[in-house]
Order: sequence, then C-alpha cells, then structure tokens
Amino acid sequence: MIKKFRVFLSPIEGQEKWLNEKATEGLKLSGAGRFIYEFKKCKPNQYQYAVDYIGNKSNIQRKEYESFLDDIDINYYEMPLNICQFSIGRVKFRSYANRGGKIATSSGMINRELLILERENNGKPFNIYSNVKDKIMSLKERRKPHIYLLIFMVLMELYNDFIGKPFIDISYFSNRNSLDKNTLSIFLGIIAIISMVRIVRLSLSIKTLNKKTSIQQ
Amino acid sequence: MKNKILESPLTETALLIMLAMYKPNHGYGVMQFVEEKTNGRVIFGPGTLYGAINNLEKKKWITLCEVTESERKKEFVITELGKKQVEAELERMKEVYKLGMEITSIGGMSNDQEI
Repeated sequence: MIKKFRVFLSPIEGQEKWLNEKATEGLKLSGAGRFIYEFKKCKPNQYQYAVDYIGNKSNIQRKEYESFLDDIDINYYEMPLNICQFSIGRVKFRSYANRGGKIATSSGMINRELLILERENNGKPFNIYSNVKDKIMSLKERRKPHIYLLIFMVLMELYNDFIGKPFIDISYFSNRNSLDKNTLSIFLGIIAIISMVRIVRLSLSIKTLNKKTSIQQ
Repeated sequence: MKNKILESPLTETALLIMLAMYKPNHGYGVMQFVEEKTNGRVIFGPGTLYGAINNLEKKKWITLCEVTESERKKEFVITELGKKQVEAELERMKEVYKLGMEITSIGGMSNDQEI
C-alpha cells in the first residue's frame, strides 16, 4: 500500500491528470480520503481515471448513478469538494445544488461531491461526457458552486465592513479571539479571486463549446 | 400531418440508444452495440449514457424490463412510443439523405448543374 498526500487547486482536471500519471507509473487507486490517496501497484497504464462532479445530485440520484456505473463495469471512489457548503452538525447545506441535493442530511450525502471513475485501460480516451451538450451542462453545474462561493464571500466582506464585528471566529486555530478586519478582508479577497478565476475559466470553456454546438446543430 | 407527440430531430445519442434497445439491453450492452455498429465513431461516456437513458425513460420511449434475481444489470427495452419516434426520425433522415444525394456530386449531380 502506497499513501500519497495531495491537495488540488483544480479538483477535477488536476486530479484526473495526476491519477492518470500515477496509473502510467503503475499505481492503481485503492482508496481516496480528503487529502490522502492510497495506491496499489499494478502494470503501467493498466487503468484510466476520470473525475465527475456529482454535488448537484440528490442522495437517491447519486446511488442510482453509482448503480449504473456498476452495471457498466466502472469502479468509483467518492471524494469531497469543500466548496460553498455549510454544516451544522450532520446537516449540510449545498447552496449550489439542484432541487433535492441542496440539503444533505443523511450520512450518505455528506462529503460526496466528486466521483473518481476507474476502468481498465482499453486504449481509448476516457471521457465522462461524449457529446457537446452534456459537456456544457456539466461545466455549468461545476460553475454553480463557485458563483455561490463568490456571492457568499462578497456578503461576508460587506458584513465585515459595515457591521464591524468579524464574521469568523478562528480562536480554534489561533491564540487571538478572532480575525482582525484587515486579515479577514485579505482572506475573503483571496478566496473571491480564486472563485472568479474558476468562473472565468469555466465560462470560457462553455463559450467555446457553445460556438461548436451552434455549428453542429 | 405528423403526430404532435413526435419530437424531431432526435439527437444521435437518443437514436442510437433506442436502436440498441429493440432487444432488451443493459447499459454496457448499449455501449458495446453502439461502438461496434458505428465502427468506433461513437463511444458513449458513462455520464452521457446515464443521462440519456434516464431522459428516454422519463419520456416513456424506453422502459425497464422486469428484473429477475439472476440478472444483476438493469435491462431496458424500447416502447411502442419509442419505436414511433425512431421511425419518424428515420423518415426525416431519409428525406434529408434523398435531398443530399440529388444535389451533391455523390448523388450524381455535378456542381455546375442547375438545382
């Protein structure tokens, strides 16, 4: 068993690329946690990986999708996507999810926004979505959490500015009771910029695909 | 006047899946059928196939076969309504094909001929 620690700024494309690189080196994923990946040795290039975003699906939809993946002989690992969701105990609110997926109350729905798909390498590209319309739909679903995160960051910044009292208490991490105003603003600004960059990149991809689609139509 | 229930044009994905389900078939079987019959031109991704099967089932163009205990995989079959959709789509394609053959050089008409 080989364990690797990894954090991805781009949890879909970045993770997909990294896992396929590991497969090329002869490593097969055997378990995936929040940041720790477990691998077993296999033949180089024996497996292929693709990462799917399922944070918009309800628990039932996710189970149905996983059952379908079983039917088509694709193995999968569930992963969290820690973005724009708020937890109170075991209840998690996903502001970006579609109807049915917004409130995650059962343990089955907590921390399962990404699916790593794995299949035996057959020498053909492993694309989760094989037509342009589905690719656009998938990118739009992926853009939603970033939009909500950006709005949330702006609201927090406004609260920080006008109410004055810091929104976040980080006494758990620091010996200070709370973040001072400027530090919090910088923190919120960095997250907002990362979100904006992701929104722009996803929007550009959608625009390119839309152009392609209008010709194909 | 065509039946108003019929939707046209169908996507290639929907049409190919329904053709693969004239006999009861499961997701894996559909993928293999389509890849083989199109000589590898169309290879369905799992997300696309899952979404399309769900959509076709909602429209009642395909239906889930009775699942016996021995069958692990869910099988679907095309419905009568689905068959009507496929037939209407093939008629439409025939019309376009005929027009294309009349006009293009493949069909015998040269570029300088009057249309």
